[in-house]
Amino acid sequence: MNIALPAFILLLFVVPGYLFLSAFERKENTRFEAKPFDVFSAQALVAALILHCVAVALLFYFVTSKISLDLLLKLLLTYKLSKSDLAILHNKILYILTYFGALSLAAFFFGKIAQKMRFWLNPYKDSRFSYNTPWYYELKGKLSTAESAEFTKISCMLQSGGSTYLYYGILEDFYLTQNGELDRLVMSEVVRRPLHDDETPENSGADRFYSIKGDRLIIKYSEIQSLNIEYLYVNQLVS
Amino acid sequence: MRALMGEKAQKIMKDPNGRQQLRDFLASGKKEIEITLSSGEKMTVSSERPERAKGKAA
Repeated sequence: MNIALPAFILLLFVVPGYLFLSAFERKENTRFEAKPFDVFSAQALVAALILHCVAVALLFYFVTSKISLDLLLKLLLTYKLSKSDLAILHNKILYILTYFGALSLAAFFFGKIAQKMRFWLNPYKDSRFSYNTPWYYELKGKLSTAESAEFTKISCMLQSGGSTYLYYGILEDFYLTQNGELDRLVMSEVVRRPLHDDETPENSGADRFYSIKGDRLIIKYSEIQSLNIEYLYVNQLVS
Repeated sequence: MRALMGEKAQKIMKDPNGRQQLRDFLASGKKEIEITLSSGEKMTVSSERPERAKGKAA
């Protein structure tokens, strides 16, 4: 109990830092910056310290100047609490819980805002402070050279039943691994042809291609031998 | 994660005629195609950036 309570209080203090960092580095269940847990924890601790300093400063200037950290220090250093300390805890428990709850929500909210700001100021893969997840930028078309592209055509080579096929399709979704590597592609309007059935003067039509039935084809990246990404541009004609 | 899909592209993908013509375009190997949607709206789909295509034409 003597060790558990300070550890629990420390964890409570660091939670806003974890929430901020998680909101800043995650989008659609994918982490943009793969890093070891100890590095993530150290950064979360720094973020938590900054968040608490800002929150306490705001409380001090706008709510009450009667902020005392004595009780907190006593809890962390496992000092025996007096009856008056326990009475303070009992009376202020709602404020304490509200403080942590509100700060956690604010940390998550500011993390998302910080992420949007980073994307806004660094929109492309080759931007100075872009996230270290190249596949995200490639497959979202966030390249300075593909600025006005509307969708992505994928051409990939796969082995199937002893033969090699070329699959062409429109990329609808993609999945990344925890490390930001490509895991799966989800394509629609997929056509395929055998690799050896190249275009010739005598045979250049779309008959070489077999249309894949179904709404969405999911291909594992690990099974793709080679992958070609082509950005397509759409221009609306005035009728 | 959602891949790149602009507003005009979504119009094409939501239209059955548009989807079929797009599929034909993928199989054709052409660089550009004109697509007519069920509503009569016409669009061109090209693998070249509009600025680059204009530069080449010039």
